[in-house]
Amino acid sequence: MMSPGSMSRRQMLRAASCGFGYLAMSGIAGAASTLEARPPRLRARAQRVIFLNMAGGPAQMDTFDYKPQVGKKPHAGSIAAFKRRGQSGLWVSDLLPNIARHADKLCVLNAMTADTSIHAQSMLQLHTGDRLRPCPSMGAWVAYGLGTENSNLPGFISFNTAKPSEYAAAQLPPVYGGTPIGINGEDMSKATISNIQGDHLPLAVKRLQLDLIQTLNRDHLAPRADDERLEGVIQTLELGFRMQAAAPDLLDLSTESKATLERYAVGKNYPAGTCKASDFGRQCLLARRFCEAGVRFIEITHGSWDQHTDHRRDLTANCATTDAPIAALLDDLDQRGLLEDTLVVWGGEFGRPGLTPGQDKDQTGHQHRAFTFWLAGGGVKAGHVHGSTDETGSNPADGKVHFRDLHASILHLLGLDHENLAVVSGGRRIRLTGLQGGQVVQPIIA
Amino acid sequence: MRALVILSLLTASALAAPPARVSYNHDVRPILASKCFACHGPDEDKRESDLRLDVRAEAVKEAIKPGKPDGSELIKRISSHDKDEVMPPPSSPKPLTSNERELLRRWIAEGAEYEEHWAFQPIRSPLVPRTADPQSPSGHPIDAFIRDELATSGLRPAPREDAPTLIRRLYLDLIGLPPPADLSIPSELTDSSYAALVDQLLADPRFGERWSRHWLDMARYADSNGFLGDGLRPNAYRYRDWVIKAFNNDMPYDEFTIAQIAGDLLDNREPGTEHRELSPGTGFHRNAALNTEAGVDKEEARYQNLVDRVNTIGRVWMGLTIGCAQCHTHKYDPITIRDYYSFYAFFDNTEDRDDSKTKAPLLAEVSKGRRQTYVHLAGDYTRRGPDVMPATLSALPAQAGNTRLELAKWLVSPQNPLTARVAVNHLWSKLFGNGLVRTPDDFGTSGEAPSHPELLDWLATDFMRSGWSRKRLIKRIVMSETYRQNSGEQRAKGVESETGNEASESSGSKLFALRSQLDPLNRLLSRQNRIRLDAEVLRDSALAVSGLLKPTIGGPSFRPPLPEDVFDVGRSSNWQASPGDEIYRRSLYIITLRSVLYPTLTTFDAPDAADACVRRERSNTPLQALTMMNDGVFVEAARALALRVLRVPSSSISSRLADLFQVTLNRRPRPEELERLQAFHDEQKKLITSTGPEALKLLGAQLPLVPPSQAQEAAALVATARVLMNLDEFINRP
Repeated sequence: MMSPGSMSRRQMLRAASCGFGYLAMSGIAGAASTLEARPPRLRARAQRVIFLNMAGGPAQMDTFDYKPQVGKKPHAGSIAAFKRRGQSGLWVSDLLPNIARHADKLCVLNAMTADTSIHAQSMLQLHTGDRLRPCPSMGAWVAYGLGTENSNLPGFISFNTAKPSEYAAAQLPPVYGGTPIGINGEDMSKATISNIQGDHLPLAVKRLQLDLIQTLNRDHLAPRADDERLEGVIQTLELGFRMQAAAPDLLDLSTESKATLERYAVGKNYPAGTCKASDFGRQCLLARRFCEAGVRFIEITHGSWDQHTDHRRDLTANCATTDAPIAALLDDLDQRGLLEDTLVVWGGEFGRPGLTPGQDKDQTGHQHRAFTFWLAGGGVKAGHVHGSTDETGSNPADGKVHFRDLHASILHLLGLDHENLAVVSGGRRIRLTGLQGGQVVQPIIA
Repeated sequence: MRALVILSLLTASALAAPPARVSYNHDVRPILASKCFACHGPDEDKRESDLRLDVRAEAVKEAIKPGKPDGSELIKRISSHDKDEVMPPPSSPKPLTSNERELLRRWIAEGAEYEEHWAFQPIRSPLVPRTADPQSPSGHPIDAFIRDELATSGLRPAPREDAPTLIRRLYLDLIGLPPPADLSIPSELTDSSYAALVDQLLADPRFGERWSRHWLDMARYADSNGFLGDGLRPNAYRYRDWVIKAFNNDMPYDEFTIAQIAGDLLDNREPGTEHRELSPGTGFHRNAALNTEAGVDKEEARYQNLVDRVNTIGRVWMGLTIGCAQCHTHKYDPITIRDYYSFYAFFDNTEDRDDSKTKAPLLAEVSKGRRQTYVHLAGDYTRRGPDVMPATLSALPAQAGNTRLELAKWLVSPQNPLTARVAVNHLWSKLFGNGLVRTPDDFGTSGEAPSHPELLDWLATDFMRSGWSRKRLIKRIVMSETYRQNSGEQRAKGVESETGNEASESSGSKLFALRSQLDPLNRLLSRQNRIRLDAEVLRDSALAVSGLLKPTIGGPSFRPPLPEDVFDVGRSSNWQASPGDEIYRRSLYIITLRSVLYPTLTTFDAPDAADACVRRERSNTPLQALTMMNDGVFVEAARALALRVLRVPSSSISSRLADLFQVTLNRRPRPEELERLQAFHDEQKKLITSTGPEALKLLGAQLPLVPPSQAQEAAALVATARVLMNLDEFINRP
């Protein structure tokens, strides 16, 4: 029996190359040397993912992992004020009053753990499962496993990401790689897909040009190149062309009401120190629009949470910049019935150690042994906390979740088996959870 | 269930082959390095119980009895259930897994052999193998090594590439531009005329422009400081121009190295005067990003800057990730944190200085207030550890002195096992798309081993013996049959056999199947590789075929027009494109502002100058397709190309289209290609005629330059030119 997801992937391929690519692709799929058999599909609770990438290492003890002082001796912990929220009584910092409204939708993982406290490496591991070598990004795996619901758009869109290696297709066919929008660290208020609109040539004329290009490429390449390469060339050209029709309207927010723009705090920034003007409101609103348009994996980024100096000032700015937009996104997804099958993921490459009250210190470093992620929608328990840390928040106490486990769980929620979603490239078997593999975190699944 | 899985695994492996011997480098070192060496490794400050496990002679004294796992203290300790006995101790965050315990046990049972990593062994001078394949003789040493391996694997080299394709490859590789349109291309390319073309291109000043770009990637060259302020460096280009000149003059690589590491310490006084001509080479160290924001801790910024210098030298010259040892002793390679700061000490007493005349940024030694270098514990600039003296890495052959000049000389001494190998591998990678070592910036134990270790050593030896001449090395490589091979897979159509006859279709298919099965990544080089053009070469090619390219060499960088969507308040908002035809200079001269990178280049994987880029990514994205279709520079080039062809007096449309094809792709179109072009052209012209003046927008700013009677023809040619410049054949080096 054919499941809807695999159907849409096939349809996409067929549409992408007018039959030719589909045939070439299915030929490859049969050859074990290039692609392994499709994974058996599990029950899918989520159809798509929105990843809120909080780059730089957000301070978990001042946002979600409440660590009050216990005992007589002052110790590292939370400096922000916390309250219990909603029916669930989840702890959320006063710095995030709007996200706090959604406490009953969140599934908080307080004992996340990573392998390294080096930004670039941990960021790469969060995205690809490997912190050293180029490997496919999580979004690319999801697009590869499920295809896209809209053949005029990429399966994976990545806003404001730092490096191509974070959204790379790597060993997967290039068409599954992320399409970047905006340059990391730059003002995002006008960021768009580069060259999405060119001169005034009508699309029909461009279509004629593209048809000739594809024909000549095929003539020239068919006898020389391997199927995989030819397929890559054909698909990326096609997708680039089709995006010209679909993407400009999606990126244009002028059709949104003033009230919506205000709810999302579009154009509002509170830059301070490490906190950059990321126009996070615009990113959140665009994430909703791309999500509605059928994009499988949308990553949006705010940073940097790397508050080495002026911890309090920059933390406040980072929270203020992201709080209202995330809350508005959760509101809209909920009201439109999308939250049910959209998995929202919040977190960064690691966390930070807590500050000790009474010490005149306003600096924090990196902490990779224990930090926080939260998930919402897409089949996870709502108003739930999984995992805890010791009294100073510096080590996991129970319910430890490694990036590999998070990856396994995200794929699981999407109906993909992380053990089998793999390709063989250059004699190496490559999958998101790497050689060691991960464990699906069953207790968080609703 | 679990038992079943294990059983089936066992069966599968038993059928396939006997279980392989445990490899020290592959299996054991990573375990020991991550779980034991912290207390029982190279770092003497942290060593416990006076036990070292990283050196066999020490380990076999007490802990390991080779061949006798049960008699080995190590196995006893790692298997113990007593919390006072067990290793690693319960307090360690990194316990051993049962699989790791089993590997260690097997390794000891098999004799506990240690291996020295290949890249730290001295460079050998291997004999060129006798050709194992009498059917494909070649007098070239490179071919002998390559074909020897191919024969062992049952593969054959691909036939030689045809003349037009080979000439195009050579132009793109050596000078980074396609052959000129008027170059007469012989149908038969003799060895001597090929060699003459190689010499001509190596002597062409554009050779230095192309090859300096490879070096500038590693030198993380930029025209600005980076970080929030991103202040301009108006004289950074003097270093860039020095590199171009060094390549064009074929400055020997050892001299090139010394000039950059310690050029300021060379005694190059003009005779009889006190005037010292300082080489801009030390500008290498001034290219790093620099945080000049107010409020930045000066000491921290200085530390970060020095760390960048040390790490960059490690990657660029030695192919080592020594940066890992900045915070802790390297997990995989024999580099201690003490080694790291001893290396750092060579730079601890340097200061930034600018040349008084040219303002070129330079590095110099401080004269007063010299610092005592110490280990920065955990890589924290505020935590002082033991004092150290300048010294090269302890795992490599030692050098005598403690000055930067002596460090530079040590790097290029024949005893250094890394420098020549790394340099040769880097040049090789630019001519084949991959190095013999596919991790060119990691020759350490976590990098990949060379595909042809003997060839690598032979090339490194030859390189040193011939006076470190890069031009000579490049010539050696491009003269080989291995370089001149066909790059196609030759799947469906017939393939030429070694005797020059057309082989049958089935043998072509068989060969394809064999190659893709035995060597899918083409590590053995049974053919050349097609390589997506580097960003700069792609833009330069478009400008060259359209006739827009301005050939001036060197001088200050220019600003191209920026696409509208790239902007950043306060920085690029007052961006002004350079005047006149400056904007048509080669991409090498585009200003590199770390905060406003030119998107046309970054879309095609140009580096961001944050760190040394030793190997570029080669991505294939829809954004590239959009850039080729819509980006200003490509649209403009297509217009100019069309007008260029229109100016040639021509008898017929079809000969005009053939010219257009020839100029763009350096070959005549095949009949069926010309037919398709003609059909497209005719359809476009009809469309343009029926649309009226609106359609002439296609000509953009060129419209006034076209006689009205030719306007419609010009517009149709623009449309055709855009198709040709979007072809995969144009975007790739064959």
